[in-house]
Amino acid sequence: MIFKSMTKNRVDELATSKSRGWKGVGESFARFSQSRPALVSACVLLLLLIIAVFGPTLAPHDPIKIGTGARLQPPSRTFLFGTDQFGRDVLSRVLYGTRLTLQASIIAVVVAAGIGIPLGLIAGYAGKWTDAVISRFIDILLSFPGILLALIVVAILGTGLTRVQIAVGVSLIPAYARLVRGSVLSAKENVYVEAARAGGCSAFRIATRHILPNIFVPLLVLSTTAVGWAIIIATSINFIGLGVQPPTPEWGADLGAARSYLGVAWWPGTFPGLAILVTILAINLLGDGLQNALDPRLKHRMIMEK
Amino acid sequence: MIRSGSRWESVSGIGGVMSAQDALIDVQDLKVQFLAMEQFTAARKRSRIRAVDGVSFAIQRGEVLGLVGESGCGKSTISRSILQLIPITSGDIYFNGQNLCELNERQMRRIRRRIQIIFQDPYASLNPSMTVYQTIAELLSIHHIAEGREKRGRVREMLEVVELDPGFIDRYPHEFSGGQRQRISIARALIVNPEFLVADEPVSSLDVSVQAQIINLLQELQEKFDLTYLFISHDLSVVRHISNRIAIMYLGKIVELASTDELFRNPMHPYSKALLSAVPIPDPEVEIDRQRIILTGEVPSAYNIPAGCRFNTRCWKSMDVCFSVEPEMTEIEQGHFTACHLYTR
Amino acid sequence: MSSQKSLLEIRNLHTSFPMREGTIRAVNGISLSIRQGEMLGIVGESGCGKSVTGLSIMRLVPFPGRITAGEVLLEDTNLLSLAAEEMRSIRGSSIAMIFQDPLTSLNPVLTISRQMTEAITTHTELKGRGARGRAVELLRTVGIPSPEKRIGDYPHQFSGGMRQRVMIAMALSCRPRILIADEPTTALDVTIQAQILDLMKKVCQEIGTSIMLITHDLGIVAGLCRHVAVMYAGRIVEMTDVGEMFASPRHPYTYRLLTSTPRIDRRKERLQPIGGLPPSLLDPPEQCLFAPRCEFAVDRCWKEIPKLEEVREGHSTACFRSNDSLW
Repeated sequence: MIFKSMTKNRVDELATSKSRGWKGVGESFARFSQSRPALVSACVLLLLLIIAVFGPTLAPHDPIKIGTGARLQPPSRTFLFGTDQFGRDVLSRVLYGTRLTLQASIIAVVVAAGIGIPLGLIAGYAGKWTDAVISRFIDILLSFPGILLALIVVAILGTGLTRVQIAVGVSLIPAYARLVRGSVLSAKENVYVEAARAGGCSAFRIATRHILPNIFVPLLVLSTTAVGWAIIIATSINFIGLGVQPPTPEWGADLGAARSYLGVAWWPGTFPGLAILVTILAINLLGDGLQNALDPRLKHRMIMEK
Repeated sequence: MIRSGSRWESVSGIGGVMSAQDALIDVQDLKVQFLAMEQFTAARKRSRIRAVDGVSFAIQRGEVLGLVGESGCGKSTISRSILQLIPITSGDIYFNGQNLCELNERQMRRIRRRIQIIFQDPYASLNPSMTVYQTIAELLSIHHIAEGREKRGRVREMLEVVELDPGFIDRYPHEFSGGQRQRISIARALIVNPEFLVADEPVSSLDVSVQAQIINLLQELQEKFDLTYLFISHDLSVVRHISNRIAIMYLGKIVELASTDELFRNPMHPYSKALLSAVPIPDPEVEIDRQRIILTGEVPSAYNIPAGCRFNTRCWKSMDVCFSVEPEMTEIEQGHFTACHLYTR
Repeated sequence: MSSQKSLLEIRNLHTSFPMREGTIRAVNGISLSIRQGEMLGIVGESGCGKSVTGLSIMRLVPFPGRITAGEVLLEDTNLLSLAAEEMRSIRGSSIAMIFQDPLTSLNPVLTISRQMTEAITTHTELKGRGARGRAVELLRTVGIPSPEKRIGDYPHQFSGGMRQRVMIAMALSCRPRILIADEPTTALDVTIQAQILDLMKKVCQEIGTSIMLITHDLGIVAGLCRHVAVMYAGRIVEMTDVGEMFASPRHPYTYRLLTSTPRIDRRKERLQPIGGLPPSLLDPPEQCLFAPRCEFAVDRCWKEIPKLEEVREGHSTACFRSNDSLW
């Protein structure tokens, strides 16, 4: 079917002069960079990522070997963060712990998203009974505070690093499922979804190609928050000793172990604690920055362009 | 084969009597009802909205049937029903002799290639995260019309057909104006070579100068591809321009159906007369001399359709019978139907 | 036409919206006037600046827009030079405005009674029961049945057409000299539209209010207005009385607008649309902005901005070729 027709009527101009697509990412990045806290957080997190990867090489001392230095030494030139109750270098332990913390949070988010997103998609799109059943299931999960839920999973699966990470992931599933379900419910009403149905798209295709890409932004923002939650939950479980076992260096575990010594030595607990604080703060600020940057505040311009 | 069990004995198309075999689309006694919570009343019960309350019409292959009515009359519901996008309460919809209401979703999906729709809002009907190519080519993949590289060629061709620069093939919807987006929607609808196209208020959201472009385009495409249209609009001027026959709807029922020329020459139903007289004409000399029929009263709520003729709350010619008996669609003159007691005494 | 002094006169108005990419010149040098009791239509498509013109008169231009030049004279007072307090006392009492969507123009959580009496008590000496009585009378005038009962209702309890009537009642409650109506019937069904336009005409004739009707619908203008100004890309391209405009337009845009509008009383074979797209108002070039879409454009059109000049008595147009017989 070749048609040579009506070329003289062709509309050869675009309404907007520039192509978005990747440039849209550039614009968002520009907006993001305008916020100082967000930029700083991004740098901090980047630093943490580097430490997580290169931690072992950066650490000045062996974090596990007992008796590296004298017990409970205050911060000094050899031991920048001091030593803990076993004479181990606190700084090295914190550096090594970075990897575990980030690892835990990423695994948790992957688990949560991997299960939560499909659950939410099915619930939101299928509706009626499927939705009712899945929603009740999510409600049950939600009725437990995050930590408690993770603890229950730990009780079932047993202690140990990977199990804790999975447990944390499970505790975050409801957040993802809820968000996706809500987004799908409203995205379903969009005319282009109706158009896709009218065109003959299957439900699966609509869910994955029409709905999911358009709820990407809230999911991204949720993920940054989820990482923060994952860290809190993971470190808390380790704090009470149910996660990693000694002598593994982990911020929460070290903080917990240092509790009894807080009267005499502030440094074995404070530095891991500070690490937790800084990380979560950075993640939250990053999440805020992302939300502001990706927020479609184009309403202003839309009014003029119409 | 003449339809049995239908109200009408004959349906005149563009010329002459036609049997049901010529009808591409044949809607019989369609009823669509919604359950909704009636808003802002003390009673918290669910009420039925009779959005479409017994509508029958047929569209001949190659013709354009205009469906006109004001908001709430049910015209959009009809378009969704024909495409089986919403569930129907009762009635039958035949496409080429096949009853769409009896098909399951999978069978319907195969039919969807032959029936397409263009929506009103050009800003909402395109997926913002898909390029023009992806949006149009998707239908090619789904219906296995073309694969791989061939798709791109076809999409480019189709863009030419709808008078868009094919160089825009990888752009996103927000880069286009309303009129251009509507062209993209048209391209998407036509890429699968459908037989029947429902145009649901396709130009209502566009500027006047752009409206004319799109109307012309739709007319040209109809002639070129021998398409059949159901053209839905609230704008009588546009409908007059493009339709062969026009059906006027009010509160869920068709009140008058006739060929375009006939309807404007001799509108029968009082609502039709009021509608025609209410449309402003861009010509001051005509406007000044015009006899305007100004309807008094408001449109009744969809929850509470009046007994008898549903137009009786605003009709200046109502008689006693209009408040008790609902008038039926009858052929008054050849090809000219109306549902009004004034003509069926 | 008697040489009455104008009630409202706009002189060389410029309103711009500075954005990151540049300045959007929404109103790019407009001059017009309205006399007492007159109905002036401002016609144009979306983005031509007609709404912003109305908002500029009321000094209600939304951020980041600013009026950058010009004068708006209400009799002899330049509204643009008034202090905020003084302008507030003009708004609603001397000049009133109604908008397109009555649902969002009315406060959904206040009763009609509250909203109407608020306007009345602010601008007149009536208070309490007197104000309420006045409001009821106004509702009756605009055709709301059982106004004493309905005045206590909320906006959502009215239909679209009734809400617009309420808006008109509110706007006219203080007997303004001028009513600016920005697409007042676009969101309404056509039979309701006929009622509302009829109402506006009647009531304004009774009170003697001038109307500035902003619309894209040529049919409405033909039936209601005495004088018309056609806007395109922030400028007025043609201004004359309504009969003249439809019978012998002198600007290509006006002409094309008329040939591309389908009419209910005529069936044309093919509409003759205007090709191309409406122009961007972002830092517009110094030329005739209609030139890219104009089939009659010549060299000069791309280099200079045509000024609005009189081609016949009472008929001005902004086109270099207005004296050529192009159609």
